[in-house]
Parts: sequence; structure tokens; C-alpha cells
Amino acid sequence: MKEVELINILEKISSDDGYTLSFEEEIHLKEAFSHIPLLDEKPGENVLDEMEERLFSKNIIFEKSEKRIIHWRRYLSVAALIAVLFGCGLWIKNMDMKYVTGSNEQLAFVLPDKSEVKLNENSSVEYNKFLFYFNRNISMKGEAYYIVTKGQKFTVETPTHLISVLGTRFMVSETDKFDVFCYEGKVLVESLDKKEKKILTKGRSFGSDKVMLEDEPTWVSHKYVFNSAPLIDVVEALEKEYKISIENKEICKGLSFTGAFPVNNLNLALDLILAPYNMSWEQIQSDHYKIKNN
Amino acid sequence: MQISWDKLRNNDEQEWKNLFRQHAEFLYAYGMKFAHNEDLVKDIIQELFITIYEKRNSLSEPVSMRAYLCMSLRNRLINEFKKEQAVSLEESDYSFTLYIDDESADEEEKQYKKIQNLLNKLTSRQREVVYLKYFKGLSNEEIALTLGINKQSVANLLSEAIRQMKKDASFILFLLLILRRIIGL
Repeated sequence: MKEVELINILEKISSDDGYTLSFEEEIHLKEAFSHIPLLDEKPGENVLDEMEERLFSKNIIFEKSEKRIIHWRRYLSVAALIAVLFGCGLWIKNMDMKYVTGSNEQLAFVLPDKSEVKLNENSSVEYNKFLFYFNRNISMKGEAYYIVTKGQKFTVETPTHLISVLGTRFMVSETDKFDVFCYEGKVLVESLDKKEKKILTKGRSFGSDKVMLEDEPTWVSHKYVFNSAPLIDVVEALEKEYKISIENKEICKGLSFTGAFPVNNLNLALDLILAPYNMSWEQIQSDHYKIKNN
Repeated sequence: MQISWDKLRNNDEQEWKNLFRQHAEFLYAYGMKFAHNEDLVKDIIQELFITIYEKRNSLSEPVSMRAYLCMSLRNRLINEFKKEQAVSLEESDYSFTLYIDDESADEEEKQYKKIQNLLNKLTSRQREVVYLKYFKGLSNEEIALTLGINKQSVANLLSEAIRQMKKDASFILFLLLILRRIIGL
């Protein structure tokens, strides 16, 4: 290639904007430029190897990349969701409430909707504080009296029956035989197998057709729980409850009593009250009793 | 070596390695002209390959793989610069630098350093086109693809660049040196 040729090429380029070089001319020009020692950055010795390694091996790309990078993110969100749901579940489960009474114990409590529940002895009631806001649902065993505030359907579940109401007062007993007593409003009682179904109105019960006269279960008004009460008051309450008279009450003066007595077992009631003070009792007549110091 | 797009699509690992090896060095050098930031360039080259890999099934075979890679690399780099700069850049504001190797021991070649001044007088865009065309041998079509402009604009940029260099007296020196070199061979 001669100098003139190269200069010619350059002339052509610069004189005519639209001039296209022939294939040969371009080769000449490229060759000329190839003599310029241009600093062309080269990757360091191992740079390409490292990049290739990262691209193709386990870490970043190919085969696994789609699964690893993208799917991990998806799994992560699923895992997070599960964790959140699990956490919510735990939290809700944590709101499970359970009330249990032993023998000779009674318990009264208020539900989140202000409905009242009174538990007789050897009974239990369970509900979930959180779910109760959405669905007034209680499960129970034993004997319980409900004063339900008006609102959404309120259901009580026993192992055998389902009782649903909107707002009313009723008592459920399944200690011996299942029965429901309605004191106000209307109560729907269904057996879980749907075979039995009965609507109770005021004064009616599930077990019999007789009309009740009581305004609430007898056991509810019996509040024989004492906290540092004078023992003599306790004995008087006992007399009234069992419709008996007790002699020699004077020896109880100055003593105080903390505890409760049952309303259906006089012998036990007397024992429970007197034993702590080293006293005993004897029956004089059918409704006449006497206390004595041992 | 011709890379088979079908093999790439079918996940032929060796073919992906070939593709990488064939272009990585050039892409590295090209990227470094924009920003002398090795880590950035390396990251972007990797991202580039990952993206092509992930899109291989929806992507139709590029007319020129080299131009396609250059275009992607260039766009990614420019995006990166835009991110860094709070004020958005005009595309022509990116810098593209060419350096003459002054490490050369050859006394005669040190003369070429004067050419550095010539190159410095060009715009970034002109330098880039000259680099791709005369130093790397890309066709006008490939350059057009890379820069996202039409073929005629590439030709115009090239002739503008030559005209600009010709204005300088050292360009004649450059030609003489080249000739001497060629004749010397």
C-alpha cells in the first residue's frame, strides 16, 4: 500500500459524507489503524476464569440459576406466608380460654360480648377469645347457666347437643342426663346427629313438658363462698340453706371462715365448716343438729 | 467459531462457555473504555450473560451476536451512569476514552503517542465508532445496531472523525509512521 492510496482514501471520506469505502479500502484503513498501539484493557490473568467459574458453577447461573435465584425468592415468600399464618394460628390458639370447676366450686365470668356464664361444680367451658368476636361459640361440659346479650347467633356445644340462641337466659346441664332449661327468650336445641330438635320458650325445658316456675337455676343463687366471714354467719347460712336448726352456735363466736360448702350434701357441708376448728356435730332430730368441741 | 443458537437454547453448557470465551475479552476491553471500573464492567458482563440465558427461549437469534452483546453492554453501562448521576445525562455526555499504550519500549512507537492528541479531539461518539470500526473491525451494520442508530449515521460519524483528525498536522505524521512501518516490513 502506498501513502498516496491511503491519502486518497482519506480524501474520499472527508470530501463526501455519503462515500462508502470499498472492501479493499476499508482493509487498508484498518491496517493503518492496527499499527497504533492502542491500550486495550485486558482482563487480568484469572479474571475470565473467575467469571466463567461464577457464571457456570453452582453459584450464579445456568441450570440452577433459574431455580436457585428466582425460585428461592418464590419459596421465600411462601415460607414467609406460612410462618405468618403459623404465627397467627399460634396467636389465635393462645387466646383459647378455659374455665374449669372442681367439686363444690362455682364460677361466674363474663364473655367478651358481656354475656354472663355461671358454671356449676365439675363443669368446664371453653372458647376462643379472638374467634368469639366473629362467632359466638362456646363448648361446655357439665352444668352452666347463660345470660346471653342480644346479638349474633350464640351457640353452645356439648358433646351431644348444639344449643343456639340470639339472646336469652338458659341453663344447660349434662351432668346426669342432657337437659336445657329456658328462663327467657327462645332456645333452639339440636342433637349433633340432627335426630332431635326442639325449640324451647320461657319456662320450658328440653327433657320434660312441665312448666318451670323458677326464674333461674336454684344453684345459681347459692353463693356459699366465704372469705374471712364470721363462722357464726356461715353456720346460719347453712341452717337457712338446708332448712335445719343448729344448737350451740355460740362456740363459733370470734372465729372466721374462708371457703365454701356444698348445697346438696349436709353431712359434708358440716364437716367442711367445722373440721378446721376441731369441732364436730351430731344429729338430734331430723332437722335438728348440735355442734360440739372435741 | 460459529456459535449455534440452537445449542444455546438447548442449554448446551459447552456452547455457553464458548460464547462467553469468544466475546468476554472484547466486551471487557470495550466496557473499560466507558468507565475504568473493572468491578462494574465485570458485573455487567455477567449480568448480560445471565439475562441472555434467562431469555434464551423468548429471544430470537440476534443477527450479530457480537453487536447484540455490545449493544446490551453499552446500554447497561449508560444506565448505570445515569443512576449514579442525579441529573440525567444526555446520551452524548457519556465518556469514551482511548489511550495509546505508552508502556511500549519501542522508541519509534513512542511517536504514536502524538496520536493520543488526535484521538482526544474527537467526541466520545466519534471515538467509539472509530474504535469499533478500525480497531475492532465491526461492520457499519454492527455499529449501527450497537449504538442504536442507522447505518448512514455511522458512516457520517466515521467521516466526521477522519476529517477532524486530518485537520491536525500530526495526522500526516501518523500516516508517515504507518507507511514507514509497512515498508519497513
